[in-house]
Amino acid sequence: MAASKRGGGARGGAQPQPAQPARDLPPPWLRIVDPEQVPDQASLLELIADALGAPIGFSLAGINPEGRFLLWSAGSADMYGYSAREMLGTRSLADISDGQDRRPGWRECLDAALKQGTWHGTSTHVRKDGTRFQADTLITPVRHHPGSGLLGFLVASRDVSEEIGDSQRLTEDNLRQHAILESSRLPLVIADLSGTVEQVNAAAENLTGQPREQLAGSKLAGWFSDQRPLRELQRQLLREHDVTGFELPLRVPDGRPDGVTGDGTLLLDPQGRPSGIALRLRDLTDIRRLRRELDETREFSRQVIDAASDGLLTLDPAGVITGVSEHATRISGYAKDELVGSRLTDYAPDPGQVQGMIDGTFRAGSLRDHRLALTTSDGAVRQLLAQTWAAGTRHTRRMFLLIRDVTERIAARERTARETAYNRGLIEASVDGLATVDFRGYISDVNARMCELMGQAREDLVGSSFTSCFTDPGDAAEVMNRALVDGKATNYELRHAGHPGVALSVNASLFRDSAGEVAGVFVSARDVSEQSRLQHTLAGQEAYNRALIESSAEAFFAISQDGVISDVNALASSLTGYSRQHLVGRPFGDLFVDPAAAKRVVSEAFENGQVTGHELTLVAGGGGTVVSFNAGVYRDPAGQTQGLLAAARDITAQKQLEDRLRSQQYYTRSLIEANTDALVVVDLAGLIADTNSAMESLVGRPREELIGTQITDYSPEPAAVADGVSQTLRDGHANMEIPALRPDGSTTVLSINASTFTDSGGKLQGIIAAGRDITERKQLEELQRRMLDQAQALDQTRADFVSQVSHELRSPLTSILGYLEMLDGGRAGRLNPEQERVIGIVQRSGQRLLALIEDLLLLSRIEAGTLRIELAEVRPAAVIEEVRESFLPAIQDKRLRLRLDLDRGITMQADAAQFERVVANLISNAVKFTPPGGQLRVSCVRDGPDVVLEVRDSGIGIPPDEQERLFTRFFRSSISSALEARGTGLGLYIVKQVAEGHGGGVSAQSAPGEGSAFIVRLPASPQTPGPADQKEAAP
Amino acid sequence: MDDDAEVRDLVEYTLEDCQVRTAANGEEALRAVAGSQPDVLILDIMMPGMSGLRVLELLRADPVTAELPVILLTAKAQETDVDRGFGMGADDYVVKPFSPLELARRVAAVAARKKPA
Repeated sequence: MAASKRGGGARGGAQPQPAQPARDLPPPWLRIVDPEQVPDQASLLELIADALGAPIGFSLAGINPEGRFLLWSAGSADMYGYSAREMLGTRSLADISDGQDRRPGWRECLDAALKQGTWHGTSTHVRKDGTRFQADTLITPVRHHPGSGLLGFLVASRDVSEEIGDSQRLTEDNLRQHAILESSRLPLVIADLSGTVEQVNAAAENLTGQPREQLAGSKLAGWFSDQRPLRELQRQLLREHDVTGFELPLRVPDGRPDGVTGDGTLLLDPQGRPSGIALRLRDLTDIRRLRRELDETREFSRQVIDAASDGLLTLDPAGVITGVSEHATRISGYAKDELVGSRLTDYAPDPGQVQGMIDGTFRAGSLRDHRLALTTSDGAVRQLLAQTWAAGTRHTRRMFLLIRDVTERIAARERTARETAYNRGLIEASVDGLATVDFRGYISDVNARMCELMGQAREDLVGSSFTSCFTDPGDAAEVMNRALVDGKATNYELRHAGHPGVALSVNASLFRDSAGEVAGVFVSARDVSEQSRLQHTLAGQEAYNRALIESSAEAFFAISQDGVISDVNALASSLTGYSRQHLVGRPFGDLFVDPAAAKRVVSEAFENGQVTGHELTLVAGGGGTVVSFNAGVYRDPAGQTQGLLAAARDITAQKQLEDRLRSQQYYTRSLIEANTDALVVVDLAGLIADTNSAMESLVGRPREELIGTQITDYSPEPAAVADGVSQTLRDGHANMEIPALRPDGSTTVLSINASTFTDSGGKLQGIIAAGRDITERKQLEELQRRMLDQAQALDQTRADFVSQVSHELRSPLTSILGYLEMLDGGRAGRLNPEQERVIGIVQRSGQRLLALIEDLLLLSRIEAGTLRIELAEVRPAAVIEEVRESFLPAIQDKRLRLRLDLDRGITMQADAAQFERVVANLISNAVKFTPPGGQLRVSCVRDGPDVVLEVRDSGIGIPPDEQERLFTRFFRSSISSALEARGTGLGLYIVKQVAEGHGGGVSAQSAPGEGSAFIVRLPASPQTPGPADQKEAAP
Repeated sequence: MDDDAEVRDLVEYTLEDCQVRTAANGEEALRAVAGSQPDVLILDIMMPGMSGLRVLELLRADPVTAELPVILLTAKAQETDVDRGFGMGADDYVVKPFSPLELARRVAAVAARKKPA
């Protein structure tokens, strides 16, 4: 088979399958000829000859039905190290097959090939130098004709060890990668370059709300509501390999778009080529900064918008009225529908004057302070001061006309002019009150205006004292003095003595007669009290308002009642992208993506007097600009609604921030909620500020009830909780176990991990604590501990039992063997030869029983895992000689020759009793399996750090197919039964266990009929001494 | 001292040249030692009740018997006991099943080593 490169973890291990269905095509590396397009016979032969002659990375061999090689290609020689001469006719498939391979042997493969038409699989092959490798092998029977006699087999093979190794490594890498993936608490996703998801972790499942089975193989693009950022991230990854903090709009389970920040890494294959991407999704860092910024942005100052008192009309270029404001109808006295559609000139006593204004407006764009007279419905002619603007494009061209009724002002002015006409020679046209005062301070003349101002008749005033006319005669005298001394006095404010509410601004100048002599002082007075001052300041106020509007940080739109823009400031132009000319006269709604919504805002404002915080999206700038409107109506002094002043602010950035913050909050909330730990945010006062559902279910109360309560309320030990809070505040973090109250009143133990958190400025805000219910874990730990105790107790019982049995079995044996020895030694009287022979048999049986007990005891300890190696200084030579003693009778019985090659100087650290069992078991086997007259040799030498014990015999040897199982428990060789040799099948197993327990090993060499050798290699100073390593050396 | 009567008999039989007193448990052994001032004491380690090691400990704690030669009898399973025994001042040990002649030789050797001192 060919090991798949993309096996992943699915195949468990990378163990190659032994055989695959025979109907498979040949492996790809062997498809040298397309059977559909076989060229003529000659070129095919040429091709095959080429293939056979070139060492082309795979072996092609032919064998006869018995497996002997008939064909050996150059590729074969290259792969196996055998030349064709070494192979052909002499060696068979057995020579390159591994006998140890547990998979089907080569004969079975040939059988399978015969049965199925071909055999394909992986097996272990052996090179000439003895090295083994995994070969992908295809065996095909060869016949002259289908159905005719078998000529042999064609065997094609290829070394795939490396591929299998690669595949194993790949599996390990995958497993490791998977573990890393899973251990991350951040959502991780691995995708290939096309954006197909390959792996995700549990956190990613949580994030997307989908199981990984669904996620794997899906398109990463489906995770995000907008593909552009993802594509940009992929591009950046290919360019830079690592990208951090990339914002991605996540499509979360309920369909609401949510944002995450992705950190990406480009995955490279071993050749350094991009093979995929890994994304780590997160964001927690910016949230506090964002919150603060948002608060700042939300601070939205509200402008109080003053209403102006002008009436507004719109006219088309022909002078037809297309719209009027309420105030305009009031000024004119005509109803709105009467006015709209009629010509403005119809109302003009001087149509030419009006037409001139209209023409001038369209020509110049606007006119300021234009004087205009219109006839009202009651036939009166009103004097108006007009401001005009032209607006609109060629087809929508129109003008706005703001009118202010100034009739009264003008009438007053004209009256005054008339009444003072007689003084024209002396004074310039003035509406001021005038008086002459002689140098003694008496009024010599006054004008009508002065009479009016003073409220007195001309006759009364003339001859009266000037200073006595005012509340403060001193100031009046000062005016006179200054005029007399300096020639003039200006801008003195004096109050009327009889009417202190009337304030007069007084100017005075010296006048002389025709002879040039001082004749008196000429005084002019102007009423500057409330009413008139109002009129004066109004114009200034308007200019001020205009300046205020222009200098404001916000865009202003004046909107008439029909929803048309009547004025804008410069910011409004830059916000909308239209010039002032374009904006004025245009329906306000046209500026927005949703005109209907804009109209609703306007009508709402007119209805309620004001609106705040309405958000509309501008058409300008591609529809991406969101503005927030505050608007209020402005009224004339009589309370009539004049229009609407709307202040707009570009809140696109704020909106984006808000969106992002919402996403973040949602994300944070999800993170908190998704946590299986109970999470609690506690403020500095110890009050719960936030919590999650795990906490809700832990204490059995909803979040709303928990927030704002003391954290100490939820533990039967409030003092411990308070301590924990203090400790956390002091150290910045704390880990503790604290009991918590369950809703049913029971107590559970929480493992708490708490740490403080700060705002972006580093100011301490509170504590975040995660609590995990560890009651079950504690109970489990307790259970484990108890089970361990029980197991240890059992173990002890068992050890005691073994010890007891050992003692109990030995005691009677002590008596038996002891008395036998006494008998044998003649202590109970001289024995005849027959008695001696019988006692010898009893003694040997007793010894064997003893050995058996020793083996069983060792076995029981090995099985229980309690075999303890008690190291002591051991002299192997002494032990071997001692063991030899006990086998002497048997050796003599079989007339065996035993040679000892012992290095008596050797000492080693070993378990003396166990070492003795090793020696005894090996010698026992050698004696058992060596025919009478044979030879035994026991050697023990030092080899570097090891002591090597070898027991060799000239016995019957061990069949090769049994050699591997020699050291398994209860294994009994077929030759045991043949020889009727007794045994438990424990000896070699114990030898192996003891050798390995000492950090060494045992091996066997054997050839049937030639004998066997067992080699035990033990470290002279084991590195892993048993528990008794502290003990002193035994003698 | 041994709790197994047959082992006690075997030891007595083996050492028939010597005067042998046997004891089946620790208390009995201590009484026998106090009453007879033996030359050598053979103690089986593994005993029900008071173990051979405990007896040895008590003997060594008593100035009168502190120097009394002691040979421990042990099963192979209890090598650590042998080490502890040596730590407490045992003079030699014999592993069960033991060769009676071997035991006799060791008793003689231990007794001879102690006598001159």
